[in-house]
Amino acid sequence: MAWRNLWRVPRRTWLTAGGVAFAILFVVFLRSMHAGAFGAAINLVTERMSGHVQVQHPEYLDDPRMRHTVEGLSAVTEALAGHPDVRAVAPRGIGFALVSAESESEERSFGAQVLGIDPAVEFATVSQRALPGGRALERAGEGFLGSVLARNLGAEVGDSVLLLGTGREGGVAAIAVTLVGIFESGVADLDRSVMMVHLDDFAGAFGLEDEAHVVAVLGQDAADAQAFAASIARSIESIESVESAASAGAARVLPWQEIQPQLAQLVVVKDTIGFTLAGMLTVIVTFVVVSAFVMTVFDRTAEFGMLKAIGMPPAAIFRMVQFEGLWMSLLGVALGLAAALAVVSAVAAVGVPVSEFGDLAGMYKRLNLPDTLIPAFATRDALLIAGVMIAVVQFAAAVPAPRIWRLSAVDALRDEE
Amino acid sequence: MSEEVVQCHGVTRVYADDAVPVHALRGVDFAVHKGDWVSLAGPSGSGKSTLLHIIGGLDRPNDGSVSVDGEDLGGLSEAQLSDLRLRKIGFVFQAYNLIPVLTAVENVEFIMQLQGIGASERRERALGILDRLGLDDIGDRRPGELSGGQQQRVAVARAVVTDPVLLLADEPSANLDTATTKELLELLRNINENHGVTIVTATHDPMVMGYAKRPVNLRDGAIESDGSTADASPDA
Repeated sequence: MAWRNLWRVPRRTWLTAGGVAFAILFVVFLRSMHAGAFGAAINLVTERMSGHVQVQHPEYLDDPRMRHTVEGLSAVTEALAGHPDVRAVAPRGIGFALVSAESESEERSFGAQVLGIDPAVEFATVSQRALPGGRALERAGEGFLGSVLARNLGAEVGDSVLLLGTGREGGVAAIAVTLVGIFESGVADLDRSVMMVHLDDFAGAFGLEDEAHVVAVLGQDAADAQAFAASIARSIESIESVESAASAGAARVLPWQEIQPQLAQLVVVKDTIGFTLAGMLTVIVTFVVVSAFVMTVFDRTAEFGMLKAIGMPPAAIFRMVQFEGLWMSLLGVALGLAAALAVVSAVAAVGVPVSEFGDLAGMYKRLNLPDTLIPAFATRDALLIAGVMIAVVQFAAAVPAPRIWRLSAVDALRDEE
Repeated sequence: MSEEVVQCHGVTRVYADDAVPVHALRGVDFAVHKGDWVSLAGPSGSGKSTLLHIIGGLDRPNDGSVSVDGEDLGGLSEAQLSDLRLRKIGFVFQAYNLIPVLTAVENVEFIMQLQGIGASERRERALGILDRLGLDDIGDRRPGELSGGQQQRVAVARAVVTDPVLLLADEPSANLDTATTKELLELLRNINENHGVTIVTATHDPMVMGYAKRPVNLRDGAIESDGSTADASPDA
């Protein structure tokens, strides 16, 4: 009966359901574009560099000194590898050194960030970067150099590369490795300033024992990083061997948002704009739907009077109107989700040139991302806005409820006569 | 003396919404016996519809008491009154007031649905009453597809399908032509005489008064005459 009641005034039903559908289409498309645009950047940053979370010494983020390390590294990596949501655990040593290459022509030196990695466990995207020359790092005694740094040094595969830095305890840290590969990440800063060596070489040179500066961890989804970080923190706290150290504040787990605050801030700004627009649209839709239901109840005053007269309790009439609202919202939600799916799929099939978006274009260029934006259907947001719209319509249907309760059957029937 | 279905003692109703109070009923004493068909007649403002509404529990008197089938309406809450209407009273309205989105048989079923009767029994009883009232061929039509007379007969079917102790009809013929009114009144007579349903109508229509067993004439909120059809005022 509630479904049939919707079609008493079809134009009103279509307009109201259309308002709900439009709100869903707008919000889902906006959020899908957002997810597509920033999802690619976040995935690149987390999957190729920072990881979804990192375990660090509590002071390392603000003060990245050589002595600020995560201790009990073996126990930490072993515990994390057993976590059900962990895809990869990569301990890294990070230091700075003067890098010199001994080539046949000349010898040059440049300052560089030295990254000590374990190729056996490192993220594939870190240890197997695009290789314009040589091969990936595999074992101790080998070096892997950013393409711009290699060019600046005049270094080629097979050359000896010497690194000179300051060790953990202030002594000289020196490593001599053979250049086995030159990588090209596409991120100019990395290609210009990073050299990778085996973690064992790094530890030996810089004086680290069973420790690392960061332990990068990949989970299932960057969007879940906060919860993932909390879960990882619990895993670490449960390690007996480092319990005392952890309780003394010697390790903490950071989600990517804290490691890459600029990117996280950009996402927050975009989220705020998106949610503000969605909120404004929801308010407008609420007014439209409330108006529709007030009119519905007003139009059917005599009928409600008759229903009360024959013995239908006001609560039952109220429930009937709420069911009408539920059908109305489900119709709007179905139309809106179908339209959103169709539009997002159509746009995803052709893509949107990133050059259309000023700030985004710059970020895509810096991160060497494709120049076409592919929206990703925002399922979570779609379900959220669908739920909000159902709640909005239920609220709207409840607004005229006091009139139903107050309605005098005699007056209602007399008005009709 | 036969059983009294309705008892009214000193029923007074004053509308005080306006600056000058309107005395719609002035201490009416009145009873309706089982199997009776009472026609409340009188000019506009005489109080006949007000009395009908008070008997039906749709309005409350300022003074006096009303009981229906032995239940004192004054002691009932709104919810209890609603329940009493659902179980014991059938209503027929001037404007038919069928639910436009339901078919004739669904309209008849609806009140049984409110009573919590199961679907199969509802359908069986609805089809049965429509058949008995000669409406079996229009059961699947919606009100918009029915004439006024057909709609009012479906409304009667809806009102009596639950075997109420009392059928209240407020100006049931107001929107009908003479021939259709006659059909409706024959139907009500059939229900009254053959099924023992007690009927109270409020009407201006002399034809309705002519069919009633007991015309009651009201004027200025009081009963002017109460007796046989022959006593009814012809110009009421």
